[in-house]
Amino acid sequence: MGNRKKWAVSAMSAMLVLAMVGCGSNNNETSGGEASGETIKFATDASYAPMEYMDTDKVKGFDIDFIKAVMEEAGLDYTVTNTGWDTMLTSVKQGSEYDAGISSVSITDERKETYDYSIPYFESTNMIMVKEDSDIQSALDLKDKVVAVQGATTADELMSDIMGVDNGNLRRFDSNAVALMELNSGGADAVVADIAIVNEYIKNNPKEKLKGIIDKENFGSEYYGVLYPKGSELKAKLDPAIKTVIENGKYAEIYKEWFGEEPDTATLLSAE
Amino acid sequence: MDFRFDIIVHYLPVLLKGTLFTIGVSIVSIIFGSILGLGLGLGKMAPKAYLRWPFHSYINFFRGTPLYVQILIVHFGLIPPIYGKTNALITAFVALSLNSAAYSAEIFRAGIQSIDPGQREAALSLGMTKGQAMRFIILPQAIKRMVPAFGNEFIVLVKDSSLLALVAAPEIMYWSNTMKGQYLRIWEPYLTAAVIYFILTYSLSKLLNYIERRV
Amino acid sequence: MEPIITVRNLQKSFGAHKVLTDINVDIHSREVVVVIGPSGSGKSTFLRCLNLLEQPQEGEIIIEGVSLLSKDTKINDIRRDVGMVFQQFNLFPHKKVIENIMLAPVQVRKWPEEQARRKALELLQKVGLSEKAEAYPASLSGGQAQRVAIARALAMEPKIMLFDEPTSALDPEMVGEVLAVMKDLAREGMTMVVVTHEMGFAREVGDRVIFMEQGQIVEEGRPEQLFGSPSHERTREFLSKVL
Repeated sequence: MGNRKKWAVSAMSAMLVLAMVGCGSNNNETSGGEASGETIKFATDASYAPMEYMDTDKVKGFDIDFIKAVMEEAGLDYTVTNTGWDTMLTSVKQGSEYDAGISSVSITDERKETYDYSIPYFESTNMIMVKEDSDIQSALDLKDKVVAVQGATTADELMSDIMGVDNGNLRRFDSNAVALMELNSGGADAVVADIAIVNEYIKNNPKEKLKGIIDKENFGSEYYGVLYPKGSELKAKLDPAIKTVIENGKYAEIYKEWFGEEPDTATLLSAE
Repeated sequence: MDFRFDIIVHYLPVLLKGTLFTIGVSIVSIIFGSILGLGLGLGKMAPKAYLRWPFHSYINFFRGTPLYVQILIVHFGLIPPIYGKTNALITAFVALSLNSAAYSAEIFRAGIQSIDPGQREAALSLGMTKGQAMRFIILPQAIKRMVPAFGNEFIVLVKDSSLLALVAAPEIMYWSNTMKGQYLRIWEPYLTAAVIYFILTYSLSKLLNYIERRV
Repeated sequence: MEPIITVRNLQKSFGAHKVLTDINVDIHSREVVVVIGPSGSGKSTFLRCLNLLEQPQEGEIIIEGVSLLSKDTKINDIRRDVGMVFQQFNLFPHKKVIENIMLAPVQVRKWPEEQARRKALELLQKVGLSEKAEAYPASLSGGQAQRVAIARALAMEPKIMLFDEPTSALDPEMVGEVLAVMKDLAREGMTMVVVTHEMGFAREVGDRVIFMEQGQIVEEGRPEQLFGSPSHERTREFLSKVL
């Protein structure tokens, strides 16, 4: 190999390494707060638009704006990193690398055995999505139908209760995107997902001829909470700030920005 | 470290069902993959370049793209036009067979080409057709040499089948994901899945060792 | 009488390398023709052209009145009647000795299993290896393997036998047993083309000896004439080295 060639190869390798280091250091992260002291590290799984998602290399979404307001209220430095679901769960459980998780995590009794939760900060309900000509009217009509859900969501949990956890007609997918595609390809009769996701999808895909069905009786409200390790001191620090943000109108402002309507903060505050 | 055996016990029945699914899909796919792979491997050895080309392309595509994407293409692109709607079971068989065929083709090609050309010449000199020479003389010897590579391919296939959880095929990984969702715990479902896969692949490698000694 | 094999203007090259140039030979039924020459002279390639294991570029090969290079000729039909014995024996290692011999008669000639077995046992007796019928090729010595290979070729009841350096891969003490079988065969009237370095065999058994060099036939004639008073300088040179 000639000297010049060697140089070119070395230079290119160096650039490649630098580029990789650069990517590793600053990606998937957003930070804020100017107060001194410790930095609180949040993990999220940014694959659940519009709650949390990646806009190229930036984490965005309702949850991200909400936690920003909370941390400003509490006067604490913080970062939010897109770690993916599994890493978020393990690292928050251990409490070493990340102090908390915010990722539209529904509060359930089974999960409380392993984690602590903040007070509820978001009310959600599940919704059924079917083709326009479907005769399905309520969740109970889904019993003997093929239903697609995103696994590990409350939609999964609700339908597992109605259909049975090992019912072969309940199909759990990696993401809502694949579940919705299954409905469109004729592999499923209905999708059950968060109301925000169903509405967004119907709005964006008018050609697919879909409709949403709300079933208040069988799909009760559920609440999202910030995820902490068991026994975390952070809960005591942040719960008052969350309460303040919801009460002082900041929450409604963010909510309107993302969903175009007023939140029911009274229900949220009394939910605990 | 707290480790909750109770939730594993709770999920054991469906995990066992998932294990049967994984075993079934793997066996059917390795069989169909081998048959298809033999055809592809022979095609790849065709004397004319334009005859080899389609086989080359097939093998390159399936070896050069992620199985993850292949599963999605089969599930949403290939099956609905033929079958009328999506079906995870059909996707499982088709995607794994097509993928495994590409790797089997290379195993067949390498195995066949490892046989001394004198064997083929001797067969032809006795008046056998090329087909007879392949069937009676070359393949029986080549397959013997291919057993270890096929065993390897089979083990990879069993583990790769975990990607089928993507389209909700009820195999082992699918049920561990379900367990994970219910309890938001990582180690119980993943380690359980790992243990099941290990038992499967370890038994398989023992079985293959036995077969290798016998043939 | 019509020759059983006629070769006219045979040309063969591997890429740019010319291996056979303008070969013309007639071989008659019951004749034993021995082809000698230095290595690389093209004698093995010539032999392999006679059953089209090598495809010549030009020329004509006619066996029993059928042109091998004609498009209408099914080469498999010709090969049934032309047996070949290889330097490296090329026995089928995954089959027993008896199966090696029976395979082609059953699959190609469509003989009943029983008839093929009877023929195989008869041939094994002829080559003196009856007790090896159920053995696998790996357990045979080189000389035994080559005798089985001869029996395998004879099982098809060929009209012509081609031998491609049949004793070159053998330990010296085993050469005799193979040559003995070949001598028997010649005595029975088999048409044989033998490429060999065994000058003793050529002298004793050959009806005619062909000397090849650089892809050409330099000289041919009766053994006593070719060995006794070769007419070409190159033949003399070669013989002085090997004799």
